[in-house]
Amino acid sequence: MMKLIFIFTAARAFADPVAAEEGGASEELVAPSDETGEDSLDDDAVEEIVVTGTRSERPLGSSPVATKVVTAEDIVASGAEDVGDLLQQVPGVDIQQGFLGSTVRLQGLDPEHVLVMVDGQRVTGRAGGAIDLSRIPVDSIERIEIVEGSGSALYGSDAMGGVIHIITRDPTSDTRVHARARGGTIGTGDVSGGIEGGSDEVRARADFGLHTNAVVDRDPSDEVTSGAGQLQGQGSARLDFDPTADLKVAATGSYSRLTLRAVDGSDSGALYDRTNIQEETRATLEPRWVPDEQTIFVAHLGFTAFRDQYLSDQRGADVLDSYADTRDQLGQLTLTVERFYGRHRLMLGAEGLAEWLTSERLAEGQSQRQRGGAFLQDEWMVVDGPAKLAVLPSARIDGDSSFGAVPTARLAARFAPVEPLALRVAVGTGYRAPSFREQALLFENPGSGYRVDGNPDLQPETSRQLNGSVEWTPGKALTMMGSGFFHDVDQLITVATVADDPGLTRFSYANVARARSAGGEATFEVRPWTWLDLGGSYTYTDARDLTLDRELEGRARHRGTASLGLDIEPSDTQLTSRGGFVGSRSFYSDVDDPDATVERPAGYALVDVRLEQGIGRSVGAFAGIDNVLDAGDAELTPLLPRFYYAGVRVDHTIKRQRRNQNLRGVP
Amino acid sequence: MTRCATGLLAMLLVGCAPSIEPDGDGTGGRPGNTQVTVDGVVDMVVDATSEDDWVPYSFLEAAIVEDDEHVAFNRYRLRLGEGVSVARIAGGALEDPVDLSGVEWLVDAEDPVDDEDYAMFEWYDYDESVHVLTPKDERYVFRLGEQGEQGYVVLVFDDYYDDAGTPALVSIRWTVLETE
Repeated sequence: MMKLIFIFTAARAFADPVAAEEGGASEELVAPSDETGEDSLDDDAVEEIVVTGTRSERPLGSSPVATKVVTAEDIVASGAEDVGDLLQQVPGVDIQQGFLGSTVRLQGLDPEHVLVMVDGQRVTGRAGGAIDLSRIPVDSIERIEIVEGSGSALYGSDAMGGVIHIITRDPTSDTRVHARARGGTIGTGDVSGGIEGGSDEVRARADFGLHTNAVVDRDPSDEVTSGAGQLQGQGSARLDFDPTADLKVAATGSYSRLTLRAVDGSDSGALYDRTNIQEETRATLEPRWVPDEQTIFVAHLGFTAFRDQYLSDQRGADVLDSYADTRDQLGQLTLTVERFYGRHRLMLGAEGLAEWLTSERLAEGQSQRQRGGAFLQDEWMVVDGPAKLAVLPSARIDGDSSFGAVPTARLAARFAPVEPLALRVAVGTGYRAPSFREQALLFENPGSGYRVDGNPDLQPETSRQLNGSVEWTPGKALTMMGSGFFHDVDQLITVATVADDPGLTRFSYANVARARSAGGEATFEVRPWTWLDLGGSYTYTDARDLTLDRELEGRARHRGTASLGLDIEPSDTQLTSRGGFVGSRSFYSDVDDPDATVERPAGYALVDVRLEQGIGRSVGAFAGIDNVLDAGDAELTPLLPRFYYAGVRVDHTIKRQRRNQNLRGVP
Repeated sequence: MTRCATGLLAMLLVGCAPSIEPDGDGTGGRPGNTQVTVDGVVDMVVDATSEDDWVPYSFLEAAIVEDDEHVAFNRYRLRLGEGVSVARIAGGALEDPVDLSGVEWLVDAEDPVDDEDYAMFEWYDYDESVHVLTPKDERYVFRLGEQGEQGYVVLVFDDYYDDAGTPALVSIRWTVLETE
């Protein structure tokens, strides 16, 4: 089943695995291993490792920063093909489907307030401020870590609402071959596969994936489509090289291309054949050096190039044809050093970012900027006995070539008074730099009657936030959590009407708005028997535009998820069902008119069912139905209609005998 | 080796998908200005899509002219020529009789700047929510010359958009108004 591992959910939440092996309950800080249980025969003995909340490895259960993890097993069980689909029914994660693809909100904040990373590298190519998660296939993903609440004190801009960190799979030295094929309704076809293997010193993997689906049209009364047909292909590779016992180097590369085709319409009656070709090339190099038991150096060098060709071809005329070739390139260099001093674990880091954007839709045709940041973090184990208290102050300062310096800070703490109970709290600040488009856009759409001009004088948005959670894990059979959040956002950049000429409304951007988002979440997971998993969550979000004194658009005040998993071992059969409920949302007829009319479509429920049957050790056949209730409509909820699929997968591993070679400093 | 490295670098920087930039021949071209006359009624489309240029038109010549225009079009705006005034009459079809007694003759403000300065201001209804213009149910009688010495013309707007949905391709019908 779609099993979400919350930081509190693991039964082994309180014991550092290394310390536990030493026979004590101490959480004395030690350098963690890169080998996260590869050799283990018992998965339950392996502590899940997370990296996003603290920017370095921590056991999931004892990290001071709450982290949600979607594991590789969850990905397989979900049947999802892309990250947008995968995260759709994760508690607290608000995925919207629409013209911009699959975009994500966290804790009521917009997609531009969510930092999305792949292997520590920022994902670029935002459209309308949002990263389209549907262009990130799941084929080579090991896990996804979700940290809600501001992460700006470690990651800088964009992380106001949280961080979604996609981590690709480390290759092992075992020889593994895997392949998967799936076919379904709506012209869906998927093929993916990969190979990996190597030696103790060098390990490599290569993966590929192809996906296609037809155009979706929920309203056949006109020619306008409600969902784009797509063809997506991607390939990725990773090479891990350990030249010495204390040095490990990882190099990754990937290329993906997504072609979308749809028919759009305007209220004037114009029809447009739209074609998008989005390409993304990503390369990273990450050496990690552990010179002694107390010190870890990590360097991350990454480059991402995103190209989006957009063609809107008016039917019957050329007047409204438009073509844009947008190229966004991002270079990133991050250096961190982590040092252990008794009960302190100190991290010092520096980061440099350089970004170039070329587009016909920019006033000058191209724009570039540089940003540099330095950050400091100290994890201090204040109390380390039967009760435990860890505090984690962190601070960062960024300097941006377009608007100057922005400081951010966070103080997080984890208190475990008794073993099954843990409390976490985090208070901090965040910021988001204005995007290139907000600063320099020059875009006119006469067919739809509007024009948008950028504003080069924009300042960064800033926020203050508070997060807290209580987690209770009485045993492996039950986990429960309650949490709350509060964000206060200033200097919010919003679209403002500059002139309202008939037939051509002129918009621009301004730092004029304030917003507040507050809410809470309750989740549970229960496993009464080894063959049954049940889970559920409820999220309440009250997100308000304080300037216009109304609810922020598109947020559901009430959301929920439910999941059921049956694992019948004798027959190697798994049945999973996951569901999500999204309550009523507000949509406005005008972006900046307080008297705009509001439309509130009814809530909807998404239910998926999937059955998998193992055939021997290496082969499995599966079938499922997504969106069983056929929720969605052509206007405000453009979900993929009910969808049937079936497929087969092969995953074969040949274990190799290898000598033990852990990094120095790890027992 | 160098060629391979160059190719990889090019892919990294700009991608390798083919360009989909349109070649310009399009699927229908720009409709432009068209005009047919049937039974004395001129049925025309004015290409007023330019943001900057005005399209001058003479009712006497029934053609776009260089100067001495009676009206000129720019997007949704209509400017009156020198010595031309207009009366706005609610309702009725183009061919319906017109009673000019008591009508108010309007002229543009001197050196008009804002939309309100034009006598033909808001010949349309504008739906702000979808940015669509719809002609009002009105007829417009143009008096050519200070006292109508060049005659009178009655005109209706049929649409602000062409069949492909392109704005500022203004469909108009007009005919000479016979007066006693």
